[in-house]
Amino acid sequence: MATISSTTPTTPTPAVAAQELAESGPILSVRRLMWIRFKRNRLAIVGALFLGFMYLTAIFAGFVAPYGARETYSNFASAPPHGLNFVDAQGNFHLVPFVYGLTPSADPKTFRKIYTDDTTKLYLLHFLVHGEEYTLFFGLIKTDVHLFGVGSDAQLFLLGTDTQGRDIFSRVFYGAQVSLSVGLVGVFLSLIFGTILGIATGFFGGLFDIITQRIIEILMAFPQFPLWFALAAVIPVTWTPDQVYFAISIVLSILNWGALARQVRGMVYALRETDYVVAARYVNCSDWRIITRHLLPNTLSHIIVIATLAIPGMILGETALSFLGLGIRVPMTSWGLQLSEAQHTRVLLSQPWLLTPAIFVVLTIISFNFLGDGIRDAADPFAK
Amino acid sequence: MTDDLLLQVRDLKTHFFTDTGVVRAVDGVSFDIKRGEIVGMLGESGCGKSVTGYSILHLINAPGKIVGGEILFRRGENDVIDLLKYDPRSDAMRQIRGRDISMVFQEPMTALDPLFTVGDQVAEALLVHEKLSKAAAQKAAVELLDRVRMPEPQKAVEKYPHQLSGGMRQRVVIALALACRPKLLIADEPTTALDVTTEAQILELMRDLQEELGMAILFITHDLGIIAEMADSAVVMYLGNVVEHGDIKSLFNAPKHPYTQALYESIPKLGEGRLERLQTISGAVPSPNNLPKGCKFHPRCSYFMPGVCDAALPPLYQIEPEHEARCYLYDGVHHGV
Amino acid sequence: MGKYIFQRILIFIPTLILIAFFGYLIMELPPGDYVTQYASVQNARGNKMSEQAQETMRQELGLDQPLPGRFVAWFGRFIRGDFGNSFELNAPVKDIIFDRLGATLLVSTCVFIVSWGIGIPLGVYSATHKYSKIDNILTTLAFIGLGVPDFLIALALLMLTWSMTGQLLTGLQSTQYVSAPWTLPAILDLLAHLWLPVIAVAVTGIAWVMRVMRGNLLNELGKQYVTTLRAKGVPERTVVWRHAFRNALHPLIAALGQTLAFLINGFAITSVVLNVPTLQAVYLDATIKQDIPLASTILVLIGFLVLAGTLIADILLAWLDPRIRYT
Repeated sequence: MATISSTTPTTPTPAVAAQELAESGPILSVRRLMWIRFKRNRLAIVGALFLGFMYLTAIFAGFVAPYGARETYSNFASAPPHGLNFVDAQGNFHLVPFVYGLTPSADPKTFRKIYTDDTTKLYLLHFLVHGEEYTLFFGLIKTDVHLFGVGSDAQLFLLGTDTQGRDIFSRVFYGAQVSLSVGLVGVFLSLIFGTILGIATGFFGGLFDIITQRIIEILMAFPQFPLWFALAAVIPVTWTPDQVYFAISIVLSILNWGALARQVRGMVYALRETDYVVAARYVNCSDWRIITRHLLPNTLSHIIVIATLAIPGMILGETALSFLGLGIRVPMTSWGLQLSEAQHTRVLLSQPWLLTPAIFVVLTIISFNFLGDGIRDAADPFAK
Repeated sequence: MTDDLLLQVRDLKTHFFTDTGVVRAVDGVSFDIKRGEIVGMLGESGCGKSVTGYSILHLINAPGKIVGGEILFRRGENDVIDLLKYDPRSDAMRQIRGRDISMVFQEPMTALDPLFTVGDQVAEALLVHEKLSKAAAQKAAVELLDRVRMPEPQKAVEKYPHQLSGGMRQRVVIALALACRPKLLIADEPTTALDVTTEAQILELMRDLQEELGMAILFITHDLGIIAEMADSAVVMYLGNVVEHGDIKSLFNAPKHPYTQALYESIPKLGEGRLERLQTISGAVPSPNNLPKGCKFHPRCSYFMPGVCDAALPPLYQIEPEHEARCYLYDGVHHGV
Repeated sequence: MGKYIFQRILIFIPTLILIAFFGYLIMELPPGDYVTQYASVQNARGNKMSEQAQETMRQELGLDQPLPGRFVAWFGRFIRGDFGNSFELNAPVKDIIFDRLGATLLVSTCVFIVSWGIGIPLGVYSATHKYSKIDNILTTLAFIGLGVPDFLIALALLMLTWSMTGQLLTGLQSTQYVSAPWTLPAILDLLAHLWLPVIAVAVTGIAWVMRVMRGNLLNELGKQYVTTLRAKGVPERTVVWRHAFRNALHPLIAALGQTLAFLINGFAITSVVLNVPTLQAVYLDATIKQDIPLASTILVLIGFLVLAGTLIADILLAWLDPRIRYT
């Protein structure tokens, strides 16, 4: 048996241990790891970029849109998309695109409106033009400068006009303001309410827990759409559009907070028995401290993932409700409301461009799905 | 391959291609298993011993890949094949698994399909390799469960995994590993998840079965005590390399590699002074992305020789016939310890 | 297991009653009632209804009684099978529902068969060929499928078929076959109309089933018992279909209840848009018009279907899973 007493390995001093830890390679914080994983998900990045673009243009809708939300041109109602051209009738190429003049007329047999391009009139596209006045940031800024336009003589209906003669392209961005935010407000409401309730029932349990659980179960047994319809129909006609907006977001969030509360409660239940929470109790930590310093941070990432995944459902819900006339009311506009004009098949067939807001709805929902999936994979790599 | 050998692993390399880099879990491992021999594979977590076991059965999944080496296996008296030459999904490989070479795993609680009875699963092990009627297979299953000392085997066949304890489930796993009388059994930490009493029973069972069937066992574990009790020879692994191997007596009486020595020293022994501190190995296992140059153990070694140990990975130097150590201390130039 | 089923059934009934009550309550929430609705519609047409006339109408419809009394009375009749008369359509609710039931069940069943029939095999393929080209295509398609609302797909399909064939495929039957006997051309005509709503709703269904199946199967394939099976030498196909697949199916069956809820909800707007005579379309209309007997009955019916579906799913799961069966 070899004697190693003179050179027996000893336990390392703290200084040595620290140095060895540093040499073993960079330790990545959890948040940094999540970010790296997220970046690798290309679909999620695409989704995030699209959403960033949409939200940005929605905030600056007044600037980006050539026309106001309610600017009507009744003599140009139901016009098909009237776009930009680079080459004129004579074959000349113009660097700055232009539009032709638009001449309305009526088909003598069907009395349907027809629009023809007047190739003699060329109106160049201008940037930073003056147009209808609008406000930004809830009335803080008032201006009338639009990103681009063609002046008051010409018409720039990039996506056509609706039956009342309003530019669809502009309305898409105004509609985005409502459609994109209702989901966020709704999710925010259900997040707050659901988290509070979830943590409370999970942590304190008892009769309070049992009753709340029964209520949530009944709520969740309720068929979703019928409940939305019924609740939306409840909103009095007399309320202002703003009140209706908040009412709709509450309606949408009602079913959601139940599901969220249940999940949070489950997580709290599991965490309650973990060693560090039990230890905290032994040290006589106050309940509040345990909740805020131990339970909340650990459940937060899951909560955010669940919330993000709920947004598409809310956007869909708002679109559906407004489509049927039960949601957002005029003069506010949302994509769903814009689509409701296309509800009637006869109208749809003769003016298919009324469906363009649908493309934005679809792209938004898909982007949120990509984003949510990316966040979930980044936060929990074992989920796949 | 000499006549007495059953399995010969030569320079096996299994790498894992992860997003954060290549992990060389097994990086040039060679060892032999004789017919009927119990070979212990020893090492800390993460040293690559389990991966070696899985590599032999070609059960490595993405992102892992066996990138080099050969595994010579004596499938029949005059039939020696290189397992790595076979596609993992080929019929030939499939027939070797469970019939010629079997494996027992660490986690008995999750090792069985919860939807099938224990009897069905043992019978399946037979039906896959042999032409039997269902009834015959069921009967054989009862006999196998009896062999692994399952109480009331006729009743046990009807039970579902969740109705059995950990020790019982592990017996079932052993039963289906032995169903076709394999020549080699790979046991990957089979008792780590069991309590000490059950562990003793399972080890005794394995010893008796080995004697009965004359099969070889590759016993993978981190527990020196088990190796001392069960094995005929042992292979010590550290960070993907074999650092020492030899027969049990010489390995435990005179361990040569500093790592083996340190492992041995770290076990508290009866009779030692009670007030002495427990020995540990200084430092920590380096992260797989940041392996030391040269001998992988040198940052933690008390015999570190600068310029020598950090220059290149030492080869295996012979100490006695069949006892080798991967350490420059034995290269004939330096003095051994 | 018997005890388990008994408990579930026990909860079933009170929940249903509560749903009925809340449904009734919600119906009452909007200010005014059916009569005010009716009166305002009449007003718009130029026939102003006097207060007296409105009161008389209220009395006829029984709307002048206080709420709890009305609910109890309604519920009492409901249990005995008397579902009352629809205010709006002035016909027995029973008949209205019965008329629509056929169409609803037909479309629902088709959507279910298509969703699961296509979704499950695709999900299994996706999981076993993870990250292959086809898997990536399927995953992307699934995301799109999950993102597009069913009524928009319905509109798009409608326009597509119209532009290709000139036919407007709304409803379930062309006008000439509506009351005609079931001859072969009538059936073919039905099929020609049927695929539209079915595909519109099934797209989301297929996407969902496929994703869930893929996730579950991948989960199972990573588990220890699969490694044991492979080490036993079991052929890969057996490992997947006999073992992993059956284990992966369980969470899906648990989600059967959810699937049913989805099936029932997913229809509402598509039915309206495509003019398919389903219960959901009728419910929508009834809600807006505050047609209490009709709306409440349908709500309870839908709630019953969803609860029954969940119950059946739970029982099925308990029966298939030995862990629950033998506890």
